[in-house]
This record gives sequence, structure tokens and C-alpha cells, in this order.
Amino acid sequence: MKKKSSWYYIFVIIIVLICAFPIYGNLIDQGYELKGVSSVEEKIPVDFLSIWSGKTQNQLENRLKEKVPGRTTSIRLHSQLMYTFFNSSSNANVVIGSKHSLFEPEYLCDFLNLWPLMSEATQEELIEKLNLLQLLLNKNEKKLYILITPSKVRYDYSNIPWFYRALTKPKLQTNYDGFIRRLKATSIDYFDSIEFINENIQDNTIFYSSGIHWGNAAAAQVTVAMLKDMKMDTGYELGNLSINLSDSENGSAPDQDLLSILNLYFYTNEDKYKVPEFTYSSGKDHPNVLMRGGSFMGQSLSKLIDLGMFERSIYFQNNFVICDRTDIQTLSDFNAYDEIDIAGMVNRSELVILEVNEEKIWTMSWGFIDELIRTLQNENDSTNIQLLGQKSLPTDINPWGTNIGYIEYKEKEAIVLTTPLETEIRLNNFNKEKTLSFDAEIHEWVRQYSDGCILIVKMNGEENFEREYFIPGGMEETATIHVSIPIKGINQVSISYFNPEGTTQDCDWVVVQNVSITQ
Amino acid sequence: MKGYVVMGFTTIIFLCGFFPLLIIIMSLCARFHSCRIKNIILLCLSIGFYAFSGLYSLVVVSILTVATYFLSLKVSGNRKWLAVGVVSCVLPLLIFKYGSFLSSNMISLVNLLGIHIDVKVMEIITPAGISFITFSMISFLVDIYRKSQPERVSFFEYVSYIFLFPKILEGPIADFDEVNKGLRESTISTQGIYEGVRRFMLGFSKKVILADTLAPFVAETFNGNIHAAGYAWMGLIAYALQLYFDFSGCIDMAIGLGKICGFDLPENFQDPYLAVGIQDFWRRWHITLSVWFKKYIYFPLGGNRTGKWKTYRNLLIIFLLTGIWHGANWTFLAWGLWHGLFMLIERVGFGKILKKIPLFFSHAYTLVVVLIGWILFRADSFRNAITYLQSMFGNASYAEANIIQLINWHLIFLMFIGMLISFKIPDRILGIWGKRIPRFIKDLLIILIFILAIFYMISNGYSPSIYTKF
Repeated sequence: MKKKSSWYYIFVIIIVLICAFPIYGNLIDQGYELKGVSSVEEKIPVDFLSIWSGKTQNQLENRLKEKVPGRTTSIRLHSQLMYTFFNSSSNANVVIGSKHSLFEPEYLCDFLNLWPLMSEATQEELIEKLNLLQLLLNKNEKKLYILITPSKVRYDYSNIPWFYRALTKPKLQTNYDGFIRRLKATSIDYFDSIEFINENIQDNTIFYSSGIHWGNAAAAQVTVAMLKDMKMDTGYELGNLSINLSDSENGSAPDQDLLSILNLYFYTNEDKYKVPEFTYSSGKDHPNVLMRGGSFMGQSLSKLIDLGMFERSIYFQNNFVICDRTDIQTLSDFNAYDEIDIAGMVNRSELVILEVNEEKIWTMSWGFIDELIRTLQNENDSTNIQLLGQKSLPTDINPWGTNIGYIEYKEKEAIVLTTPLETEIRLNNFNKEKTLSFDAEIHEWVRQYSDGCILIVKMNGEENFEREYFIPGGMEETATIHVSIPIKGINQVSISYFNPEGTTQDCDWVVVQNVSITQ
Repeated sequence: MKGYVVMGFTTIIFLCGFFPLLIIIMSLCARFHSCRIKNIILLCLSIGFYAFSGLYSLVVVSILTVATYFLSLKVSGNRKWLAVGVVSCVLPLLIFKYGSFLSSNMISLVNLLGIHIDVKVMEIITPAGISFITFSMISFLVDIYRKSQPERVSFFEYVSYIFLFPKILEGPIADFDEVNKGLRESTISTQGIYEGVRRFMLGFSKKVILADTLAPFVAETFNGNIHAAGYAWMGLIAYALQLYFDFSGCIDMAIGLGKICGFDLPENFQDPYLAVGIQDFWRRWHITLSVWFKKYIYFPLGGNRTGKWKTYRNLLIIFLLTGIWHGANWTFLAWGLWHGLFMLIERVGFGKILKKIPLFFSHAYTLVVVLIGWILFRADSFRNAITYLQSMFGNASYAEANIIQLINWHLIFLMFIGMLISFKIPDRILGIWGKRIPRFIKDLLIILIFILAIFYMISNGYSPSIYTKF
């Protein structure tokens, strides 16, 4: 009996000591700081109403839970337990697959079509915006370049968790497929790292099991190839870049980003890391650059800034902005553009590079493209240009592979329409009284074979009306028509063409150029 | 203004502050055999505990306590004053818990009749535990009326009874006699504290490891969308486990805390998922609620002594009230009636058939009825409940991202363990051998599980992301 009551005392004392862990918790934690970004602390309100309703007490509990000594050890042990015994993650932002390969759930969901694909209309709209952005940048003597980066799920599919594979259907098409197909039909300069990797990199350094970002080694190889392409497309003499890859035990950030936020004591990692060392020889040109994108820029585009390739730089990744490698600003959200001077950023930049990951095309740049468009357009003129009815065509039908798009014509930006009626240039959002003017002609390559067509300009607004203009074909000397229409009370203008009776569609490649809206 | 329930038993404040302090104080009281000091300290701790849910709750319940105490001085043998007393208890419950629900439904009804009213319904903060508190007050008044209580109960004893912290938020529903024994006698002992702490730890572990871990998965499956059948069934089973372990875990903690303080609070669960028939289920699930309804509603209505049809009527009334007691939504009412209907069916004759057929089938029938009832209990609306049923018995092949993200071996393991415990498989496997395992080995195991539960409690909800600067 005495033995029993001794055990009762011991038992109770043990429990009291366990519950008193905040007293000695700091000793157990040993100063280890948990990795990863968690939510911002809310201030504890101390006012009568908050105490009355219990809000103060609730916030106090939340704060204690975040700050209690011993918390770090608890979280790490819990994470270790889940990892070791269940091959599972205690962190909702990490999913563990076969061979302990780590993924972020959103990349899995997107690649496996667990989230709905972008609709055709949404994809078209994105391309139209990019076309417009390019047009506006070119008008301001700036260049646009796009980098598409890959997703780990594409290259590590065999290791994704079994229940993702078992519970989802195989996908037929991705957002990337639709996007790249449409992008190829435009004149926008871009580099598709997925195409490059598929042709040039076959080892397991593309993505490591321990991270969600592409390996620094693979990203460096892409960067070297991208630079060559960018030089050709933009015309900037940016110098030469080469890399040397060497073995590394732990790689370099962010090769182990997901592994680090699991905060484990022990883990299995068979990755063979390689780290790149860049060698850069400076070129003649050092344009000012504005880069916008996600965290995949960090292993690629940011290196170009670090190497001093650009005179001035604005590096805008997720929600933080680094100007000229020194001035850092963190925004309250990824699309908190009212907190920065976009106009100033654009004005001082000559080259605008947008990075998009294949799984983030649906949220490309988080509204930054719209902001740039808005900024670049005239302050009093929020008119935007849309190209409607775009379809890809085989290049044996026309050299641009599209039935409507931006081209270079007589050393200037122009829009070509190659099929009547189904293609249309639409200008929206006029305000104030303006004059719309533009030039139109049959493309000089085919004009001699054309018998002409009718350009139709429709105006919609307080009153709707339309005007028709004949564009001559054949060997006519005056081949260009100049259209100038005053616009008042109009909010939309549509430009298309058709073939009147007695004429044919053959060789009617209509070029519209020098579009301007003036007061 | 939104009300918060803060000082639950699975919070840091309680576990690391209140709980060890309680153990130390009660151990000292046990040592010095001081009942009076123990009761004073207990009352202070109870009021402090309740105040952590907000001063609003404390003020409202204090007013009700004072009012009902003075009414109790008049109800002995007096039906009129009893009626006043009961109405005084029920009215605040109706206003606080059902006020918004009743108002919005009245407005909808009026609008349906063609009279358009554009009125915003005010959300009223419900004082924490008001349903349990109201039932305690009513039982106190009725017991005095029936003269089953001593003629004079002191205000101190009554307040201590109402505010007794182990039971104030989530029960069990104990009557005054059950609690008063602990108040009047110095019943704290070292063994009692040991058993109480042990029971608390088991309850804590059940709630934190099993119930709280299943909760996010359940929340996603009951999001109102159509899912593939597999998810729906998995979600329903997970909910059945979550609900049981959450509620029974809290009751274990309450009983354990009561034991530490020298009270023997009544049991509320007795392996409900082993029930054979719905009648049996209600002898095992939320036992104190069933007992309360029996004592204070069913028997006064005549029970089963006023003929067959009145018995059925009384049963339906009880289950209607049981449903509505659980929450201010038509789905709770439907849930109550669902169980009432099967009670009637078993009463009429099906119960006898259940006793004759193999146990497996009667058990399976019970589980199916209970599980489908849980859909009504959990769904926010009839539409969501129907959607859920469509998911369970439909052929949708949708794979919802939010649900898949939560499925892993850990979840499956916990569900498996939960089912084993619910069906008492470990007890059956261990059998006699289990009794031979030394107590201190079992206690060490409980300590380890408790420590694990603390890890779970602190880690739940901690999911950092990687978006830092490179």
C-alpha cells in the first residue's frame, strides 16, 4: 500500500514537472531557431471591450502558444515523428513523396489538374496583354523578355505521393502547353527553360529531393543559354557568361528549402549537389533592367544582376523589391503596387524581364502586367488595344504563323490581319474627345497579287456607326490609306476587313500601322 | 462582438498554469484536510477559469445564478414559482443561443408571405457553456420543488455548484447532490489526485492527438461540395471519430479534474460505437443528457405509463429537444428526429428483432443509422447534408485538391487507431494479459502519450512557408 502511494506521489510530481516545461523549455530548445516564414503576430488588445468579449484572453493564448519555451523542441519532435514513422509532413506546405522527395502541394495540384485549367479565353487574354505590353514598351523604346521556368513535378513525377497519383486522372494538357503555343505565335521574345532542359540536361541536378526550386546548377546552365538568346533577341551586347560546376555536400540556398522548414533532427538525403561558379566577361551594353517574377528568379536572373551586367536594376520578386542591389522594400502583399512607384521603375528601365513558372501561369506576375500597361498608357488615355480572333496557322500559309498579330513592318511596329471578318483590332476605353488615326495597306510582299479589300471601322458608344475604306491591291502607286476619325462619346472602336462581292481573299494581308489617339 | 472560449483544457494557459497550480493546491488541501479552504479556493479558481472566456459570460451567468438562487428559496412545493424559475432559466437560453436563429427564420417566414422586411439580425454573443449551465439550474430548481434537496442550500454551495469549472463548459451534466458531496466532505486524497491526473491525461491525449488532428480533414470534406464517394465515406468516419474523441476526451478531462478536486462526476460515455440498436446507443452516448431529459421532461410528460401513443409522442418530443439543444439550426432538429424515428421503430418491434439477429448485423445497422445522423449533425444546412449523401452514394470522380493535401499515412494511421479504440479492440486483444501488466508500466506509457500530445498541441497549426529572401 505504501509502495502504491509512493508511486502516486511520484507520478503526480512527474506530471507537474512536465506541465511546467515553460520554465526549462529554453534549455531544451538550445537556441535553435525554427526555419520558415509563419504568420505575423497580432497585437494583444488591452481594452475593456476586448477583455469583456474574451478577445484579449484569446490573443494572449495565441501569443503564448507562439512564444512558449520548449515550443521549438515540441515542433521539431512532432515533425521528426511524422517524417520517420509515417513519411508524412507536419507542415501543410510540404508533401513528402517516395524516396523522401519533397513537394509543395500547390505545384502538385496545378500539374495534376486538381485545380481547373485556365480557360481558352483567359489564356487569350493573357497573351493579348503581353502583346499590348510589348507594344507599349517598344513605343517607349524599351524591350520585353520573358523567362519560363519549370516545375519539379514535371521532372520528379515518379516520386510524387502515391495518393496524388492514385486519386487524380492523368492530364492531357497543361496551362504551360496552351501558353507556350500562343506565345510562339507572337513576336514576344522569350526563353523556354523547359525546352532547353529537355534537350540539354539529363541528370538529377534539375531538381533535388530536398527542395521545390530548381537546382542552382541546372538554373545556372539555363541562365547561360538564356543570356545568349537574350542578346540575340534584344540586340544588347551583354557580355559572355560561363559556369563551372563543382560538387557540394549541402548545395547552396535554396537547394534544401523544403527540407529546412521541416526542422528535422535526422533525415534521409541522397542528393548529389552541385554548385555553379560564374565567370562573366563584361559586354559593351549595360542597360537598366526591371525584373518581375517569383522565387525561381533567385537561381537564375538574380545572378545576372549580381555579376554587374546591368547599369541599374530593379529586382521585384514576390513581394519584395531590391533596387540597385541595396535598397530593399517589402510590400504588404504580392500585388500591393500602390506601395511602390511603378511609373518611376518603368521610366528608368530599358529592359523588362518577366519570369513565370509553368505552374503559376494562371497568376503570372500577380497583376503586374496590368499595372505596367496602365502606367505606360497616356495618363489621360486609358485606351487599350486588343487583338481578337487570334489563331495559330501553319507557317506555309503565312510567315508569322498567326492570323492576327504584331509584326515589324518598314522598321516599325505594326499589326497584320490575314483573314477577313474573323480577325479584329479592338480599341477600348476612350475618354475625352480624341482623334483616332492610323495607316492601312496590303502588305508589300503580296500587294501585287491582291485585288484589294474593304477596311471597316466600327464605332460604339453614345451612337454607333461605321465607316468603310477601300484598301487597294495590285500595282497601285498610292497603296496606303490614312484614316483619321474624330471620336466623341465613343468607348470602343473595332477595325476589321472583308472582301466585297467580286473580289477574293487571296493575298489580303492587311497591315495597320501608326495607330495614335491624339487630342 | 464575437465571444471566444479561451480557457479550454487544451490550452497553454490551462495546461502550464492552471493545471499544475490546481494539483499543488489540492495536494495541500488533501494534506491539511481543510474542506472549507478547499471550497473557497475552488470557487475562486472556477470563477477565474470562467472569466477567461470573457467578462461578458461571467457577468451574464452571475446574474442568472443570483436570480435562480433567490427563486430557489420560493419553489419548494410551489408550482407557480417553479414555473417562473424554469422560464427564467429557459428564456436567457432562448435569447442567447436561439435568438438570432429564431429572428432570421421569422423574417424569412414573413418574407415568404409576401411582406418584405429588410432588417439585419443582430448576432448575440452566447455565454460559454450556457446550455449546460441552464440545465444545471433547472435541475436544481426542480429537485428543490420535488423536495429531494435539503431545505436550505447556501448561496456559496449553489454558486460553487454552478461555476464548478471541470463541468461548466462541456459537462457532464451533474445534479446538485452529486457535486455537493464533494463540497461538504473532504474527499481529496492522494489516490484521488493520482486517478484524476491520469484520467485527465488520457482525455487530453484523446482530444489533441485524435480529435484535433482529424479536424482539418473533416472540415474539408464537409465543405459543401460534391466529392468522390471514397472521400465522403472517409470524411464521415473521420468525423464520427473526431466527435467522439473530442467530446469524450473533454469529459475524461472534466471527470479527471473533478476527481483531483474531490468530486465524482458522472460518466457520460460508455463505448457508444459498440451499441446494438439506437436505444442502446443512447444509453452509451451523452448519458447525462439522456438522464436529464428522462428525469425532467420524459417522466413529467408521463414517460411510458400513459399508453402507447403518448409514449411515442413523448419520445419524439425528447429527441426533438435533444436535437435542438445541440445547436440553433434546422439540421440539429432533423438529427434529433432521425434518432427519435429509429427509437420509435425499435420500440414498436424492431428492437426485439435486433436482439435475435446476429450481433454483427445489429451492430452494423446501428453504425449506419448513427453515421448518417452525423451528416445532419455536422452539415451547415440541409443542402450540404444532401450534397454529402449524394457524394457518398454517387459516382462523382472529383479529386479535390484541399482534401488530397490532407491525406497521408499519419491520418490513415490515426483513423485506424481511433477505430480500434472505439471498438475496444486493444482490450479484447490484451484480455487478461492486459491486467497483468504492472500499473507503473501502463502509467509510463500514459506519460509518454501525454508528452506526445503536448507536442501535438503546440505543433497543430504550425506550417511555415519558404518565402524568404535569397
